[in-house]
Amino acid sequence: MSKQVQQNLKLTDQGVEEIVQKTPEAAKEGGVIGGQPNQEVHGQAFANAHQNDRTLSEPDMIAMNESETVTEYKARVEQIQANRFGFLDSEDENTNDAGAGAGARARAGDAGKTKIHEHPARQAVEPLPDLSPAMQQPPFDSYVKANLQITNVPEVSEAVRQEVLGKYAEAVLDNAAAAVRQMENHLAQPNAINSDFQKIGQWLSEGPGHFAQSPEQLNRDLSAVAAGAMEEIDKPLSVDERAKMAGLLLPMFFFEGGSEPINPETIQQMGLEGMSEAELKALGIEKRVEKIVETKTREAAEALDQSEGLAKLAKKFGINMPPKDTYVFAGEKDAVSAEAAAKRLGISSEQLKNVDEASLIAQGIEKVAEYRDAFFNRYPGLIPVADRITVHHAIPKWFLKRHSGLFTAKEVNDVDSLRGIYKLANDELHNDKIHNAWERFDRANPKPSRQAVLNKVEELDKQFGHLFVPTEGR
Amino acid sequence: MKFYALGTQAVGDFGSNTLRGDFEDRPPKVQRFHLEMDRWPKDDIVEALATYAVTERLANQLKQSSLTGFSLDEVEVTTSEAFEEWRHLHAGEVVPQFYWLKVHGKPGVDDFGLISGPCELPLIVSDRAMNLLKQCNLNVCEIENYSPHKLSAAG
Repeated sequence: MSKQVQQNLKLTDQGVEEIVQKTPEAAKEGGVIGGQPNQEVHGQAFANAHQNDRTLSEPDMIAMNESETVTEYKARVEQIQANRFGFLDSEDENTNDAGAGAGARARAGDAGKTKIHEHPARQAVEPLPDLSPAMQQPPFDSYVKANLQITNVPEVSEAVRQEVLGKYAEAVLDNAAAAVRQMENHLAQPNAINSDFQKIGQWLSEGPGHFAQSPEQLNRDLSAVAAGAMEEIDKPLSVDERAKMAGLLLPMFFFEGGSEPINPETIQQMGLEGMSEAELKALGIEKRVEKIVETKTREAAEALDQSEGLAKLAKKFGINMPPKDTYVFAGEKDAVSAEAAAKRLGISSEQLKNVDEASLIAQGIEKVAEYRDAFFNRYPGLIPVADRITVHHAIPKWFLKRHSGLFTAKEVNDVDSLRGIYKLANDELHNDKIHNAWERFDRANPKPSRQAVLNKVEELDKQFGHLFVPTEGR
Repeated sequence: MKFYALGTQAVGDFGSNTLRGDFEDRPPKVQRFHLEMDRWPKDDIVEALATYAVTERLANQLKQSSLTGFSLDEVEVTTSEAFEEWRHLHAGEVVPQFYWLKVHGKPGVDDFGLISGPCELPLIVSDRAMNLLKQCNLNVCEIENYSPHKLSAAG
């Protein structure tokens, strides 16, 4: 987690200054005086404290070597004084410094010859503050040769990459698929969503320890956040959206005060998931759920708390509250809109609206509630997941065509004859098994009785009812 | 020879251009077949009320075979709103060309036979025909051993 970071300050009497800075956070953690006002104070205090210091490059501070002659010694002293630290030319150094890169800045100092080179650390997550004037202004005290500080600071993690976060989201989606059945059943219960929002409030306040029981806890939480989270799950998600999803549902680790989550590798290496709150706190790490959960659920809760809000949410999924009228012509299986029916009858939609049902039936037309509307008006708790549910006619619509007169369109489209099927299961369950079962029934029953059909409905309800949404009563 | 009773994938219903006899006929007497698909055809042989259609791929194999009891004809295929609702599940796929598989063989005798009268699984195919069908997609199709006394209401 930690990494040794150097903060290096070199001043020479030729006026070449090089400063390698770390992030302000790093400086703060390491006890380095990083803020500009503090740098000024520090610079002055340092100068005062060291004004009588002598440096290793002063002749009387350079020891004579054992086998060295006086001439050789003087020549060596002169060489040292000429280039006390053996610095490269500043431009060359700049070019050769891989760490400088595009972030390196060179500024002309007041002394004319002086150049100040700043090398922001590559991990810096925000621009560094400018160096204080005190650090940039000559005269540069000759005794200040180098100030090397080694600090221990937490490594600043790389921002979590979207594709990694995407993997998180995929794992979440897998869990979601497994959990969705219970969730839908749960949502079909009266007042389920309002209760869930209360639970969300609870676990948001419970804090970081909440997810310790995962993955089962995650599944349970999925139920609780269904209204907000399910809205996202089944849509084609971009990488960014998946990342957002991960934030919705996963515990995220942050360094205290940090805004970027710690990357998954670091979490794994440090075993953060297994740590208690106290252990995490000791490391300066916090575990939290993204605020998006709060926002999302609040919005959904507000929507569901009022009939207008619920209708608005329903509209989003193409559901009308109350259900809109549709019309079924005798011998046809599909209902048509009021506009289409009016057109076929050669009247306006307004005129059609005013035609009473007896007159319609006399003309071989039945007015029925749009079946999806009818279903979700019966089960408003399922509206937040309406785009994941397909509504199936327990009595196939083709009975109206193949066995005209056996059932009315009203009966076939009645809400009691409708079944919700989760779309993930629909293709195999509804499109294959149920339709094949009815086709098999019809091949063997060219003149079925109403009771035979209703018995078949009951048989299929018993066989597949546990996969319907809601399953209650089946 | 061993025979099988098939419950092929029910992909939809008769379209409005179908010319047929009474709906109560089993199998229905169809003069012109318009298949309106409500569901994506997953198998190479599909049906609407015991009136069958096969993909071009299967049709070509049938033409090249020496199997008996069938002929091939044209079928008009259209898709319903329900079909379009689920099309996204098959993004990038194309609905294949279909041919009407007219079955006129005697069940339990010819390679393709159709039981006359009410029957859950009226399409009966021989072992030889089954071997050819198995080379194609038969994912949704129900396959049962043919037992004339159990399955045939017509006797």
